[in-house]
Amino acid sequence: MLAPFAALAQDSLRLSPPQTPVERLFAGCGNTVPFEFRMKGAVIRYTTNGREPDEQSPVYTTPLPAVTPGFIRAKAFCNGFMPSVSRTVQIIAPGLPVDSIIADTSSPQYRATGNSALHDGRLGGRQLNEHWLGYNKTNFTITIYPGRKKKIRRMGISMLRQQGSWIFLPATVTVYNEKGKPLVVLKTPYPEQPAADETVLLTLNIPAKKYKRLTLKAEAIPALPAWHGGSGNMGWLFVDEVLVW
Amino acid sequence: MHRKKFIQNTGAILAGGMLARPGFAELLKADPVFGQNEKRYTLNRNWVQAQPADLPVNDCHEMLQDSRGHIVLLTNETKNNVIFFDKSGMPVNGWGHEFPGAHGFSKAGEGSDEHFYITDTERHQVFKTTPAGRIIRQWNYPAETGKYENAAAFVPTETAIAANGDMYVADGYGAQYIIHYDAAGTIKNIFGGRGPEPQHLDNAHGICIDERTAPATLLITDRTRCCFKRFSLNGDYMETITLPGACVCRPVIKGGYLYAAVLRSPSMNTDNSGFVIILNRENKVISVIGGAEPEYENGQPKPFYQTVQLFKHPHDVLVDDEDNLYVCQWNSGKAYPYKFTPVV
Repeated sequence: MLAPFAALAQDSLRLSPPQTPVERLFAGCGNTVPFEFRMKGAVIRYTTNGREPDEQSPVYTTPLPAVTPGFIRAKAFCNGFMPSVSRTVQIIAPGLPVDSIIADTSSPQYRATGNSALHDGRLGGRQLNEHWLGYNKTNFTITIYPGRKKKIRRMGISMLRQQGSWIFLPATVTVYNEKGKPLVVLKTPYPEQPAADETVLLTLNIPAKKYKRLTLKAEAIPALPAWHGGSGNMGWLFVDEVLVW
Repeated sequence: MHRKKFIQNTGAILAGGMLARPGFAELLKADPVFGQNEKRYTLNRNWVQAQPADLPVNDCHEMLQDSRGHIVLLTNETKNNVIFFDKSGMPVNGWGHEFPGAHGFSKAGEGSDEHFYITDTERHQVFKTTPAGRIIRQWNYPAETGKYENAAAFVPTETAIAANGDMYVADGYGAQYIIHYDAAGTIKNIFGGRGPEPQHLDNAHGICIDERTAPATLLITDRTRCCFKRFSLNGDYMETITLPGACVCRPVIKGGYLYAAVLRSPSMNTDNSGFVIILNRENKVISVIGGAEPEYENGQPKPFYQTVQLFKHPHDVLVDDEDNLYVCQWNSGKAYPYKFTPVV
């Protein structure tokens, strides 16, 4: 009897997504992903296969081991409310060890531990003075010496978008082989509108080979976009890790 | 605006308002209860009995309850900066076309001695008015303090009036000073300002007199750093009440409790993330409306965050004489205030 009336009832409110302190972390090393949602009667449901959680997904009870590269997603559910959108944590496969990485010198205030910061297995968060190399120029170059140990077929560069701090993703990322030949170019969409702060792992596929040297060049957008308070000025590029697989 | 004309104009509003009242279907569904412990509430999002075409608002910055019991809203919509509602949400009066930056709203006195205080962030001024809207005094930027080069540097967000008539003005969007005027309107003191020390302020968005302490003290918002700071009435720093994750607007004290709208969380960079927080006399959070339930570890609160998308950017809380709450919002699609009724 009440079902048709329920359909006419006022709009339910939607829950906000569960909280977690990290956006992404490396698989293994005992890493775990904790979630929290302090609301009586609510539960967190999650998936580890990248799919959206639903009412049948397992209920979260303890921090989830970060084992398989991919995405862990979690949503909050509670009777009387619409479920939240997902909170997503990216699990990244640790990269292959490399002999060395040499990057252009970054701005003095964003230098972290220098070149070693780019392959120390530690990912930057929203604190700009930790783990990040920051460049206030049109491009930067990073040279990787893999040591010809294994075939490399994919590269990753972890970067930051924090537009309020004038930090934008690069317009393009190009990978060159030992001879300076471009192997692949990745283009990101031009920021036509503001976008949320985010740490992003850009990945590029290259022909599988035991490379002696790989060079990665990131080019910034020419200037901050028209909608930005600093439009016309040069923005910043921030990088915290370079990975090869 | 003349009261009679305002009521005539709202004639059309009444008709629209009838259609907007909750129907039978809505009454069948149990209302969710928001908040915890002794401060729990049900929600009415349709409290205002009006339509935007007839009663436009922009940012709904602050509210107060006047001597006659009206719920009074201050908005930066210059068609009607100040709107009076009865407790059922019916608009009954309104005035004000000259406050494009209407932001802070407080009152002093009762009955025939009642006055309103409005800060305007675009005019860089503070105004004292009668409840009928006549400006009887205005203050420009405090040049005589030597801290301000020009009016643009002074962007007042709030006032608080002490029992002796002294006025405190919070320059929350300007140089972060608190300017202390005596009852005659002359500057007595200036304190706060930017910096990393405890006595400094960053986004001193709100201020109120806390008469729960003896002697009375000031509670001042440091919104960027998610805390309230207590100062003596002479401007000496006393303590910080930390509320991790809660970018609080102004403190509102009623019945021994402290209420505050939290504009955003965990920082001012996250949109649509607000909620409302309530503290008891011991400065302990006992209820959060639309946000994480309070939990303390080693005497410190665990960080707060939004749990229900109930608000986008709540900007002020009014507690009326029956302990109902009204919450108004900034930059939230020109939403009217919501009313919350206590659950016993």
